[in-house]
Amino acid sequence: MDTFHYDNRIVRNFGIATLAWGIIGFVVGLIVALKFIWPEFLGFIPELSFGRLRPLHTNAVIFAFAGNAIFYGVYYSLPRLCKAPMWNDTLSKIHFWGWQAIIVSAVLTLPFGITTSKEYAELEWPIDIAITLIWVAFGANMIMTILKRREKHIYVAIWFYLATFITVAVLHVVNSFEMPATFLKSYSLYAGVQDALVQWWYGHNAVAFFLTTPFLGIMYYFIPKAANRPIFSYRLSIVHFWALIFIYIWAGPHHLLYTALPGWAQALGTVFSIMLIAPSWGGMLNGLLTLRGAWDRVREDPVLKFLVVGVTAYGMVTFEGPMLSIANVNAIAHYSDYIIGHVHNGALLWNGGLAFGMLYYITPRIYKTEIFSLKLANMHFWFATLGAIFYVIPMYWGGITQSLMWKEFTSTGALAYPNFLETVNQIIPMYALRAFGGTMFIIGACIGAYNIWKTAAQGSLQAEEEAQAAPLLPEKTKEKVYWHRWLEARPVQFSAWILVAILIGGIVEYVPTALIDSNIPTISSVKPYTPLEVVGRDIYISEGCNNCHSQMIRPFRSETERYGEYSKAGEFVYDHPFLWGSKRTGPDLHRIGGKYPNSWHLRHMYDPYSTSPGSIMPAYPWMHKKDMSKSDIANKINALRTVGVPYPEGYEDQALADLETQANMIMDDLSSNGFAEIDGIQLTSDKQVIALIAYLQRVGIDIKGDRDPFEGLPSKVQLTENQD
Amino acid sequence: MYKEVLRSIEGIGLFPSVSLILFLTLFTVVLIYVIRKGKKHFDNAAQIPLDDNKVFTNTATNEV
Repeated sequence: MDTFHYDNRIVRNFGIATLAWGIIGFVVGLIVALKFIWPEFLGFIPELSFGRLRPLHTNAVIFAFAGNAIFYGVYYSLPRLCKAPMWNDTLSKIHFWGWQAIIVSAVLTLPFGITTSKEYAELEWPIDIAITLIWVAFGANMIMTILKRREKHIYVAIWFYLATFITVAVLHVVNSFEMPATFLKSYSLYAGVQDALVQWWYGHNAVAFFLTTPFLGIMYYFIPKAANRPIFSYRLSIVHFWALIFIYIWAGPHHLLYTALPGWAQALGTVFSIMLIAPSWGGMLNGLLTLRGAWDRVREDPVLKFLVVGVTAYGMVTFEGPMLSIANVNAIAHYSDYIIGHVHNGALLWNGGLAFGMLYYITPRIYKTEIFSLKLANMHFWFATLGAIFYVIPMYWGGITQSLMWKEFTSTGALAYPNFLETVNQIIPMYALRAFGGTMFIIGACIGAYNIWKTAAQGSLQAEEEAQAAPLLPEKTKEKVYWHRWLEARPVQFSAWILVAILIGGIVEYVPTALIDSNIPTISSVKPYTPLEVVGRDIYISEGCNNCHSQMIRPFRSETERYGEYSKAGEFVYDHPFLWGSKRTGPDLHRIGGKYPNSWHLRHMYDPYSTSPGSIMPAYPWMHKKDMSKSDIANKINALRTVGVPYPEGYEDQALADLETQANMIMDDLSSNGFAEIDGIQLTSDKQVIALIAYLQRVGIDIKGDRDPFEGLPSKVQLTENQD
Repeated sequence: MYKEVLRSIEGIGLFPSVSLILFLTLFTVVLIYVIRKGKKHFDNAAQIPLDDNKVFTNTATNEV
């Protein structure tokens, strides 16, 4: 028998990080929720404006709260399932501190407008590199632990952990290909349709392999532990695992239905999304049926309560997902708050439920004590569950209401609600209810944190937990081992098959679209952005405008009536990154160019109320005072050329002159219309708002082909046609 | 326009079918495997999280 020790310190550390970052992430969520009701709440502080905080909220909840919860579960269960301590404690520490440093770097960049704009992949390129290194440290530690195990069979939970490591690595690396222009600014290697496809292949599978598979692994370990009985069907878990990882990877394009994405890819995404319901529900039932004959314990044990509600919510969310990917359901739900409700059902109850279930399970065990207060734990449970319900239902209700209002026509064939703001103001009470639900959830989490802290305080941490197991004996070669059983004992081969399963989906979906590059019907009038528009577009990205405004008009009459001609794939060939967006808190902007005079935009950005009474858009008065960044325009042009925008060689030297000329043209126009100053602020052509106006006036107008964007600029460049 | 993109990729119509067949094959093979093995075959594996102290022996000896 070997004697060895499990490291409980690292488990504790990840537990503390889960709780602390969780509460921070929830509070940032509440702040952005309050901005829907009081748009001026914390306004006029650029770092706390909605467009910058929303990505911070999503990143904090996904990578800081759920991420640390995953590692908490893995560092507790993996050694115990392998009957071996983690391979290398130093690597564990590097993983822990590295991950926390990445989260801190997100806090230090996103509110300052340093972002790539790609959802859940907003962090800029130096942080992307750090994520890759730390992720590899985690994977190496995990795989080496599995190789050094004293248990022949690799338990199903570990398969899910392996799939998580491998797939997230592939997704992160492929989606993060970007060309740095400066230290904290880069441009996506992909453009338009391709960028959208890669992004949602990533985005969807971040949900699949960061918020689902690791938590399923956690379910397969902690439900049997908490219920003290083996999983309902191990056979089902094998089918569940392979079916889930194989199918999930295909479903990404359901985020892009009715967009300019090729139809076959949309259809494929839909078919696989609907098929996904089978393995998802198989997994859910496997978890719930494990409790057969033990349901009475659910009444008493807060751990089981959180796990059961978590798995049930998983069942609801994975039913909704496939339904939402059916095209005509998607047509209503997409861009609306329904999706916000859907993801919070998953995040608050499924990820939150499992995370808190684990915290209540592990803390008393590593501190060798009992839960401090069952009463408080039950209170936490009810606050969390009711809070989530108060969050989710108003979002479903509001989302569908607003979407149907967008689509409603009068008997004469005109839009029933031509003013977008009417549809926004209709659902403000729902936003208020949502904030109430979120507050309840946060109160619950604080009660939980207090209870867990008191639990730890009344016990003492058993930092090194002793365990014994016999070493693995060499295999008896004569006996016949069948293929999957053979595989289950070989982590490296097992991982290789996981990689094959996920790559098939990725390659079949992605490669043809990559080939499209040369095949996209070129719209000859679509030209690259002028230098000033590039700067303006960067401001649009930096302020996070895409969090509330889409740039993708779907081919529905209700949308073409409201916004203008529907969006074509060929219009986005120079969009690095794409800015289609996924939510319409405000109207679509793809045909905003030329719709209003420059002065309208100037006033609207300064005070949205002045041009759009009833608007809940925050004001951006700092754009009228801050100078735009011009000095790096040559680097930006070079970086954009590298990723494929056909600026002629040497254009980077002329870019600044073009930029200033165009800025002066806009400034002259504003002055001649009496807008040389606004509210006492003297405007000059150096201000950020000038660049943003240039960009907004350019969006979506090329297709008309009636204006050369470079006309009147000193370079008078004749840009090469995009034919390669 | 989608149709033009579609046509420009050779054999594009096959992609969804190929992927479906691939998946169904994999699914069927795994299903047949677990059904043929029977429930008992996996009992030891399912016990792993529960026996923290006991040692799980090589499953090869449990083959039916």
